[in-house]
Amino acid sequence: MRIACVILSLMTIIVLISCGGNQQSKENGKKLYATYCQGCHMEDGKGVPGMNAPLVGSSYVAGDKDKLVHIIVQGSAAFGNDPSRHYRNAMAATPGLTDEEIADILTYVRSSFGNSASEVTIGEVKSAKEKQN
Amino acid sequence: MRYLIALLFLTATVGMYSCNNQDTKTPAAETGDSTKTASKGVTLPEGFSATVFADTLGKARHIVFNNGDLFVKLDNLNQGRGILRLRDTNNDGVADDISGFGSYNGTGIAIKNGYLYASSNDDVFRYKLNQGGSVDSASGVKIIEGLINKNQHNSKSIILDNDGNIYVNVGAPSNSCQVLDRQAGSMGMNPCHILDSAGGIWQFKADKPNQHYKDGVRYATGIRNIVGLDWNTQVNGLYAMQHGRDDLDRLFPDKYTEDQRVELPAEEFFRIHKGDNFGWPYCYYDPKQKAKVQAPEYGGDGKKTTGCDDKQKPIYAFPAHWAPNGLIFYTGDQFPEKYKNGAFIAFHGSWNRAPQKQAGYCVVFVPFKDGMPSGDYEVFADNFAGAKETPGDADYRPCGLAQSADGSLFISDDQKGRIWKVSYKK
Repeated sequence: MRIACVILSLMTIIVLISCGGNQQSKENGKKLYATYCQGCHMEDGKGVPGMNAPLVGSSYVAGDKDKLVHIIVQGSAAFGNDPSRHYRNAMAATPGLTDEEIADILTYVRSSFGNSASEVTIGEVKSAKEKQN
Repeated sequence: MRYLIALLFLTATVGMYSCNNQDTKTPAAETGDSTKTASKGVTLPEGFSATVFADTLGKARHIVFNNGDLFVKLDNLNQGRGILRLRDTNNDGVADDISGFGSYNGTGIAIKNGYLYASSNDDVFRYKLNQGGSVDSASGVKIIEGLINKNQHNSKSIILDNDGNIYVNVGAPSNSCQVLDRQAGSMGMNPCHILDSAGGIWQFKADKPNQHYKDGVRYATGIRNIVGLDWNTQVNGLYAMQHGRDDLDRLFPDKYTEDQRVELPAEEFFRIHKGDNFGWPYCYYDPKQKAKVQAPEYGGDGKKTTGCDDKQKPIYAFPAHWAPNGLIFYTGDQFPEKYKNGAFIAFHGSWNRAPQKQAGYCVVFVPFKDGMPSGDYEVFADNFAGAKETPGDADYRPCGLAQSADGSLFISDDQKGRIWKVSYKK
């Protein structure tokens, strides 16, 4: 009984922490998004038709996390020659961001504007960067 | 024990649900589609009225009128057609006979001396117009080819003079010629080699096939990108509207504030003479200082005019980031006298004013006398965007302008492909 109580409390704490952590990450991500991303992708994530890509309904945003990390770090260069991309403006690289900042931005973008993809952790950002090198 | 395990799962489930719930709540409020109301229609000065001449054509870019037909250049193919001919056979203000040809995307279209000219994002084509005004699409000849197309600013606007020349804008595939385009802190290439083959207006012969850069003349340089341009027949000269640079504060946060970037630089109205240099990327126009100011990529601090004093100034300065896409001098007799020989400009609407309010989803008028602006601009047609004046949610975005033989004004939209016909009755 006592063990069960401990497990219960522990489980509750874990749930609260992971939930709160995700929420914290999203809030940080929102602030960082306003600084680094919003100028082109707009507050509503809809971008500028034909010019700056939308983050709503984007297969990149909902897709491979490694690729997303590379896009933030390298900018347009990370897209290679994807013929389905036809946006006129190049995306700038943002090399100065920390792993945590990248995780927060991606967590925010993947769970905002109608997107409902999973969070991106600092570990996943680190791992993606290692694969890139 | 069993009860406790159930409680454990319940707690976990509630915890996760509350997480997810927060995730799904925010976007629903942010997209806000349910609150969007339909556009109440374009607003015009008293005495003017508009009909929807055509609708849902696709990305309707520049337009031109000839012999009862409106020709539309599309930037996405409509049933395989990149150029549409719209005819209003019963004269009720609505096109009822639509045909098309030219299987390429693009922006530019012009008519001169019995020929129709149209551009893709790389080339310019010419077609013979038949007596009835229809186009013999088999007569199509590529007159200019191999222009720079690196996606950014790749539309090729075209206009002809009265001496057998065609003028083509070749936009710079860059914001401000930085070593790394649009990257914070990256300095400008010096010299900016982009200007060798872009960032200017090129002049070619209107009737010679397969011309390349070497066959043409760089007529004017130091121009970031032009979409709207026209030949003013009253003074026999070229005029154009430049899209000014973006992102001053994002690229150089130590030199510019957000408020400064929202209002800088002006969207410049150029009168272009052969050999003119308008200063891009080294300089931009600050309407408050009434001067060409050195760009931060080249050492500027927002005030210095180093290297800019000899650059050609605009004849008129419009608010920043409005994106002028169409220009036409009104030569008709239908509108009131003040409009005669003045300029209508179609603004596509801003995006680089974020996070502040976007602006410029409208058509404005500037009165002219002897080839120069003779008064302040006024908003002529407005409310194209509807409930949400943002690039993603605007109902319509003005792009091209044309004038019919009877003096009506046509306005195109490239968001959905609507064309308005604007008329005046006393």
